[in-house]
Amino acid sequence: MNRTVLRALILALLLGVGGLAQAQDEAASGEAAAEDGAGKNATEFVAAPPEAEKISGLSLMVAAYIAVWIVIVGYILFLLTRQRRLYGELHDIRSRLEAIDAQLAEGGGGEEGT
Amino acid sequence: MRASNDLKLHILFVASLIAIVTGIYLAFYLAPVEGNLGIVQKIFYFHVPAAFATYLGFLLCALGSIIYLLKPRLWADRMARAGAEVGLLFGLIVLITGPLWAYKSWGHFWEWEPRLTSMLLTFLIYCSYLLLRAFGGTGDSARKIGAVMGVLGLVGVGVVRVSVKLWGGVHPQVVFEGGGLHPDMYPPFYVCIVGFLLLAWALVWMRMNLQRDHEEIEALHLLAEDLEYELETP
Repeated sequence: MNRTVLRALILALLLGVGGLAQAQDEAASGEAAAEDGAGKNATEFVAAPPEAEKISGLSLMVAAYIAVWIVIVGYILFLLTRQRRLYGELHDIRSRLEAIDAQLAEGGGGEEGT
Repeated sequence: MRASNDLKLHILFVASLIAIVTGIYLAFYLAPVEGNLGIVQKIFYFHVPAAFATYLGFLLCALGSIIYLLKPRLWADRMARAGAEVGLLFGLIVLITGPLWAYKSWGHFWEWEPRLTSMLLTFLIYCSYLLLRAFGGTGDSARKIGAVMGVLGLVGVGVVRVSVKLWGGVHPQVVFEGGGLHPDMYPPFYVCIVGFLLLAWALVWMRMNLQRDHEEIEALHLLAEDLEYELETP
């Protein structure tokens, strides 16, 4: 394996592990603050106070589901479009190679005549 | 052989569609409406499975990259590229559905807290990977540089996974840590996870096939140019 690539991999791993270790230290020292309740992760679903929301939950849910389907279907259509373009290129390259074949055949017929 | 591969791909797509539709049906007709969040909690059945699909895509990218670095194989490079694209696709779904749910939960769409920030950073890393692959050339060196980036991006995925445990934040932990799920919420949740993972797998497979066809056509173009050049020169 290329030495440069190997060094880059090792450096990336060291940075990643070092970063995680440092973060764990900071997390341990920040646990006291977390225990005060600030930034504590909810382990059940919680809602914002009603006065904070201006958009209904139903609208948000519908928007989310529509967005999901648009993204997925959009990507599938993108892939199908690329596939169609590739089939077009395949048709072009096939014609090109057939023309080359014909030229080679003519050239071979000419040589046999002489 | 290609015909049988296409058939398997079609079956995979149909299976994923059936699983997702079944999951949606169960989410609305079996799972109860959550008491605190109301109907918006139904986003959960897409948001979390999409996150799993994102991890799968990025893992495939990293795996393909590692294989390519150890033993340059074109199929590994195709898998890396396809994995990154599909990972970004589902990552986009996570980043769209999450804030929509967050608005109901926190009163605003975004919070610069560990899970969300690390997810966004990882998303941007893999965006950079795809830009590098698109504009960085097609030679072996470009593939290897891309592969290193694909492996580096995996660090971001690890950070996203452990961000809540290490740094806290406000992102909820209802699935594996807490008891926030009603028993009837688990079936649609698991079915949606299966559906999204199958869909991710099918999209990676389809993208890999496209890349293979593109490479073959490029090779045929080069062959045609060489032959035309030989015919033209006396």
